[in-house]
Amino acid sequence: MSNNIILQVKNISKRFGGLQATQDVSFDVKENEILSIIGPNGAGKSTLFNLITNFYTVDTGSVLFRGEEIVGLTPDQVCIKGITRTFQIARPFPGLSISDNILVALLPKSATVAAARDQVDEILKQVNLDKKANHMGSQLTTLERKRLELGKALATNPQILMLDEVMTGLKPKEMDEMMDLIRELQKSMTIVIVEHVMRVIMAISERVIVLDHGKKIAEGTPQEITSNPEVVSAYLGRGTGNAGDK
Amino acid sequence: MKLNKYLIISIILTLVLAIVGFVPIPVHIKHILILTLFYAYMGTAWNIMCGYAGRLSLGHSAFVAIGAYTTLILFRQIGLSPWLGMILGGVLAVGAMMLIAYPCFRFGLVGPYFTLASIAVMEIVQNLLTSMRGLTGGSLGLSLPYKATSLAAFQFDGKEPYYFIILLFWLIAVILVWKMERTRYYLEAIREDQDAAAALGISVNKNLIKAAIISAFMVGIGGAFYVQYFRYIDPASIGGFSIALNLALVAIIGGSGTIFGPTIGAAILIPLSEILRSSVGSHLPGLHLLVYGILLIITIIYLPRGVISIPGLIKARKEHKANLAMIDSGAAGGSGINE
Repeated sequence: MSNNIILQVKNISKRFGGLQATQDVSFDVKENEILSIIGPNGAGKSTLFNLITNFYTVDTGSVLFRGEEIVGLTPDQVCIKGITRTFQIARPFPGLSISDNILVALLPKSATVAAARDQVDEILKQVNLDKKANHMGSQLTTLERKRLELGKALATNPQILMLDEVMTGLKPKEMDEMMDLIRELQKSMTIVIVEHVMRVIMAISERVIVLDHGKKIAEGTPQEITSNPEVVSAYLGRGTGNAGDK
Repeated sequence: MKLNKYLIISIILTLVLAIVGFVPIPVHIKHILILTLFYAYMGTAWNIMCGYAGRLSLGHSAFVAIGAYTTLILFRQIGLSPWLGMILGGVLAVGAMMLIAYPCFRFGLVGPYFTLASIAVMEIVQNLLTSMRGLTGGSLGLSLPYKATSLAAFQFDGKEPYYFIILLFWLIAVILVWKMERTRYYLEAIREDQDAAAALGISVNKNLIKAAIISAFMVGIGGAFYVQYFRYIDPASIGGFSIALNLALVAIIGGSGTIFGPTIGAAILIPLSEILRSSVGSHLPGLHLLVYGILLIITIIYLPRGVISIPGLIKARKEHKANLAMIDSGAAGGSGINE
């Protein structure tokens, strides 16, 4: 793994009315690593994704992709630069066929429609949807929707792939398959992943960032994180932690 | 391969229609054909923004009226050739479209809200045209002074020239939509889920604005054709609900978001409406509207993707039956093994 920093998040904050969703969060992402972002419900994980990809505008702070400021771009420009995100709830285009779903994702970076069409099968195979190519986006099971979501993201040929809870709703065997796929992808891209399933995080992440109430409370290897008392108390409540009791 | 199919169909259809243009047929049938091609063209234009991108406008007649009035007023006041006036009318229609479309797209006005905004624009334009009496003749309307048959003046004695002109318009529109394949995919993605489209690198605003510009320009040009053909317009007939609904209905009933949907819709609705109007219109006025309504209800219930989806539905049903048969025979085989 190289130590080149591909993404620098610097002191970003976001407030929705009275709620401080993200507060002064900073971290770096190294090239070709798998970085996990965890935290209790409402900790601001998805908001962080939305801020980095400019679906929301940061109030303050900056995000540098390969040293270049990307705050202020539109979401589509962020994707063209090389950062693609998936959505927590998979969002296939229901009225398009599965192959057209992939085709649409390939198009922005393809010179011609024909060139994009040539790559569709390869992506479908990669996410194991080749047998469903002619089904409509609305006809998929949860697992297939997740796979399509991933396939669409891969079709954009990202340098950083940001996966928002791709494991939710999967069976253990399906999770293993998905983890194998993510490890395979790591060879050619950097992966930032928001996840709830601790088994997955422990197995695939090289580093973990923990958010709570919009603040970064810890950063380290999976082992360091699970033994961090602040993390334990954030997940289980103050009463069970050994620090900060009344 | 699939795309060549569209080209072949358009060329064959155009050739057939072109030959029909030379056949001596009764004038009123020729009139129906012209109207059908007119609405096929207009529906195709409407479809770019409202079908593919799913921004349902029920006020497109505002842009038709702007195109028509611009052409007519410039011809009457300064004798400008309708061909030039038509282009200016198209440009003005685009300007008016941007006034409404840009804020709507920018602030994410979608669904029924966008439709309501489009109706409001139609009402505003119609009221403006009615109140600017000095220029537009108000609600009495404005007629086209007839000079003589001349291509330069876009005026002809017979119906044939109009027929060939609108046939050409329609052909250009269909080829244009067919050619903008990439944009069509982008617009469909935006229609289905605009955030998901943006996440894949598709510029939502840029593509919506492109669709709106093309759509408004084309219906503006269509408005100019209307005034040259009918030689009279008033704010209610050209800028009102009647034309706005026709544009939407031919596309929706034929199959919105498809290349030939609006053409199929026009080929069904316009002759039907004209025949009903001429046969029973005198003692049962409004009957064609009732038929429209019934057709629309039937289409929405049974053919939500329009008449154009019928072959696909039949094919899907056959495949479904074949699958069921396979499952049945498979089950029979299974029980055989058990025995």
